[in-house]
Amino acid sequence: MPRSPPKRLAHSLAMDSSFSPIEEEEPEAVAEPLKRQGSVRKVLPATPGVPDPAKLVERTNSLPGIRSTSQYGPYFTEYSLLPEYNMLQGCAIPGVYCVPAANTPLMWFGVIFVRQGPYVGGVFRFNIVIPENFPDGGCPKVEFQSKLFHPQISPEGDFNIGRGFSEWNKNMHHIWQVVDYVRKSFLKIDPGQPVNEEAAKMYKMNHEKFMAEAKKCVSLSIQRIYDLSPTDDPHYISFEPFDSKTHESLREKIYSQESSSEDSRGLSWVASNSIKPFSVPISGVIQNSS
Amino acid sequence: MNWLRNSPIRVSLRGRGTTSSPPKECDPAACFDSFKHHWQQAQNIINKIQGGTEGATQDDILSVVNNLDQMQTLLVLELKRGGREERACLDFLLSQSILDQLLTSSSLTGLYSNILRLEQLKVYEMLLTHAPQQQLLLTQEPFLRPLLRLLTSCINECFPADIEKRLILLLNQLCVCLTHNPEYLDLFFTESTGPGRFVIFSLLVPYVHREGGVGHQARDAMLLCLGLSKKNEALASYIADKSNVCPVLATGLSGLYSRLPRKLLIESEEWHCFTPDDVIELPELTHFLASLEFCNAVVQVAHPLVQAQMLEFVHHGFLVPVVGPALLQNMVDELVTSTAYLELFFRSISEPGLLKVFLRFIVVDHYDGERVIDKLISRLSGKTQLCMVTISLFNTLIGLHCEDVMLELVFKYLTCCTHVMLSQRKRIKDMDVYCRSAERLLALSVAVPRRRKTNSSSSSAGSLSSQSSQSLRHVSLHGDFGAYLVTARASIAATWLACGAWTHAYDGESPPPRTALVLPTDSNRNLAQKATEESLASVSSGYHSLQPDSEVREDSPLVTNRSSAPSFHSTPDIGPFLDLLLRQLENMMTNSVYLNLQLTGLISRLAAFSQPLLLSLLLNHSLVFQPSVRSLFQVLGSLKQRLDAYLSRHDNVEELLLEARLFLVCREESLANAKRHPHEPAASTYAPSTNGGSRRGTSIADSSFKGEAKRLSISSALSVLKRATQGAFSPVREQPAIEYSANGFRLAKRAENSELKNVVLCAVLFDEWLKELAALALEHGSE
Repeated sequence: MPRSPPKRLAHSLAMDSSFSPIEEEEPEAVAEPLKRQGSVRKVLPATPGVPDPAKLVERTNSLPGIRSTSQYGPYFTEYSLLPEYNMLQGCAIPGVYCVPAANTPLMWFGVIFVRQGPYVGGVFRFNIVIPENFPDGGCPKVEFQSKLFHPQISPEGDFNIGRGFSEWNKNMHHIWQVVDYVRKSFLKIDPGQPVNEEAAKMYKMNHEKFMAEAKKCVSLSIQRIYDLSPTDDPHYISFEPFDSKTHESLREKIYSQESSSEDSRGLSWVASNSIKPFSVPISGVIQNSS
Repeated sequence: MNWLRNSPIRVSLRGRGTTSSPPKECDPAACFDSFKHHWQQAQNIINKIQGGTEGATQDDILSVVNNLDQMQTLLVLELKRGGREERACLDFLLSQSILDQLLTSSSLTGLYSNILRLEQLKVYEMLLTHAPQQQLLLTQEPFLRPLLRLLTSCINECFPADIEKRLILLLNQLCVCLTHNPEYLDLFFTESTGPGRFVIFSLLVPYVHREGGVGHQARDAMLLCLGLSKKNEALASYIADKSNVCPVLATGLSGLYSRLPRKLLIESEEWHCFTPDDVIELPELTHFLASLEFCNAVVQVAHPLVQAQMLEFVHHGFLVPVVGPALLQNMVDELVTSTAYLELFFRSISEPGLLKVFLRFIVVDHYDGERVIDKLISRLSGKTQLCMVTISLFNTLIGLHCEDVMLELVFKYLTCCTHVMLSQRKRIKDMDVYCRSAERLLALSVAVPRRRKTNSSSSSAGSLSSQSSQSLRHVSLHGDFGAYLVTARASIAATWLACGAWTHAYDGESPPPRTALVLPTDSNRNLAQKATEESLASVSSGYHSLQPDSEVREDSPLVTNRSSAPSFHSTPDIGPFLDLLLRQLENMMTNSVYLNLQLTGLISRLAAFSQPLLLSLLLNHSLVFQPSVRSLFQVLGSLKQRLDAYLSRHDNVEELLLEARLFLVCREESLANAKRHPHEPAASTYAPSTNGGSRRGTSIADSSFKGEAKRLSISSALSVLKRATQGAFSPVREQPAIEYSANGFRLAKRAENSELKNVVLCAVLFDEWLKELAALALEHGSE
């Protein structure tokens, strides 16, 4: 079960995630983000004042870049990324979970549960690193945190995203496509233009051995699944063994969530086939009494 | 019954009474004996009266009253003791039909019948209060039958105050009891009360407009009855068809409305709507609002049958004959008043049914071929008080988020999509994902002219201003873009939620453009034309504060880039409402800062709607419209040009801008403080905080720049209102602007005399508004 301490879930980028963040120390803090799930629109902070704009300025105003030359640069960066994140959430890419870091909108933590292919069963962490002057700074980078033997992933963990997005076209390309591309690269291995020559060669020449290497990666990832967080960012996705005492009630909550009943508030007396005000036929009661 | 209370007889009677008053801790058997004894005595007198020919004497009555008092005390004792098996007195009371006998005797006592009536009311009230299971009493024939007869006998009677009080109290008790036990409701529909008649309700109706405790209790009881009617067809049809409550309430509204002041003495340039304090100062208005709120409650709780009738009467008995003429008359200052009343009414009612009647009245009803809404729209032009209150009214109307209103004002003209170039129609739904519109908006910020480095003092002044603007950020919304974003997000979300029940999406596809009305563009043209004419005509009507529109001030240096005359030549059109708003916006440099605050607040409110047709018109920088259509970006661009050009011709603009900022910051502060401490004078609470952060910013954003200051300006920017007809003047309250200027600037005063300072204020406001709009654009884009 993915676990992400949602202490700063109110952060504007990180609110409406498709997985349910679980936090055992502060169960009451969890209730709120859970409740918000299923909202059609982006979720609003419960209290005004968050996101703390002062923080935002503080953490990004030193960044260079075209847009950040003005005092509004950091806002533009953040608000260019908000729709990207919302689109990613909307896509609900199977087996992949992402959440932006609490400390910067330019880094998103991700984890992929591989469901088929040579790496089936693997749980791999990755970071998406977004250029500071997004959407103009080229393609976001994808860096894997665990060792992966894969033609498109360098021994240092850098995913060869340029294979799929040779040039970042902001009118066509979106971050969800990057994430989906990464997911697919685990299903069907592409040995072309590899960044890990050995892996590519092995995939082509010695398929059995390659499969065994992949299996190794999988078991290694499972062994290290409960590793402690290497960063103090509260949005880092970490895991812990399922403990019914801590998690059962939350799990029940997640499964029992009724789809948020759309309370259609508001005033309208416009008939569906009309564009005239007050065109809804007057109900029989009123006619009777008049 | 005061005469009785003070009479010597009463005193002597009281003396006698003490001897036979029962001990506190008494033996139930002794109590019962005493109870029977007192009844015996009372009965003897009653029999004597009934048998005799002379009628009752005062002594007889007093004796009966005394005995009844004793019996009540004993009954209370017994009921309070609470033992289930020992209800001897109560059983005796019921088995002997004592209540029946009392009722019969009271009808024979002539002059003194009211005294006995009062006693009986007290007995019933006491029984209902103290009986452990009061609802069971209702099933007791010896209790219910005389009660109904007594109540029926009260119909159409005029009573002294003490009986009224007892009667209403008893009725209220009965209603509470029935609300808890609605199954007993049918017991009150009997032959003795007349077929289908619900006597409790009939008795309450005359008290519906009564002030004070009795009226309050009566209205309370009435609402309980109306609530009961929801589940009881007999009661509903009685109230709707037989009782006259609906006409009484509706005509009551008319009566109370006619007592309202027709003119207000408005002393503040800023005034644009009634604040809670204003309402308190006008007792007639307070009374009217109480009645309106009662109608609202009636519609809320009543059976649909009653509801429909109520709405019908409000429409035909109040809106059409009274409010309509008040809104369509020619006296400008009376129009200001009636418009402000209407705005207040919309804030006071909440029930969708009632809102619908009010809105239909404005949008659909015709008076001499004209609709109220058209007249209201036409008053959006000009610089008068009437314009201020009208903008305020529209702000409230749009704040209802009613699809019909928005359709009438805005979407009717946009659904056909003719305002957009044909090739662009597909782009109406496009989202501004990379913040381009916001960027463009912020780029329209006024260019502060470079100080001419002619003397050495300039550098020090420059550092002063940068220092002060630094400090401004801590206390104010100014410069705090994050606060604008938070406000924008909240506002967009609230608007989006409130439009949840809308029928159409207004995205260029739903409703499909081809079903759009073929617009009678001629009538639009006429309307806007008329608006211009009217605003000019009212100059000659003698309304003193009305200034000529800048369109006739060809000599003004401010009017540099104006398209000569209002042009309505081409067909594509965004409708008179948006057109007049944008036209008014073009005059921003000559408008008062208060008018500009209202205006920008209204447009911002419109920009919080997510419907693509409106959103694209207001906040999409790249959509190409028909040449005849003014977009918000166009108007803003031309304003920036004119502001830049004007300011570049003057020296010292930098300092003036700083002063203007301070003025607006202080105004914000005073409004925010007024909101937080409604009872303290705002000035005393001014304390700049260095660590208030975004919370403070948000509350300020809520107030001044959103045009919602009206709800907050409780004690700060108040005008003093008095009935102009009475000629009564109240002491004029200090305008806060002057006291507030922390650095001793007295900008508010001086700005009044100075065109330059007005333009500078406008420039500051313009800049801040751009941030607000940019924040809205960003938040829309991130959906």
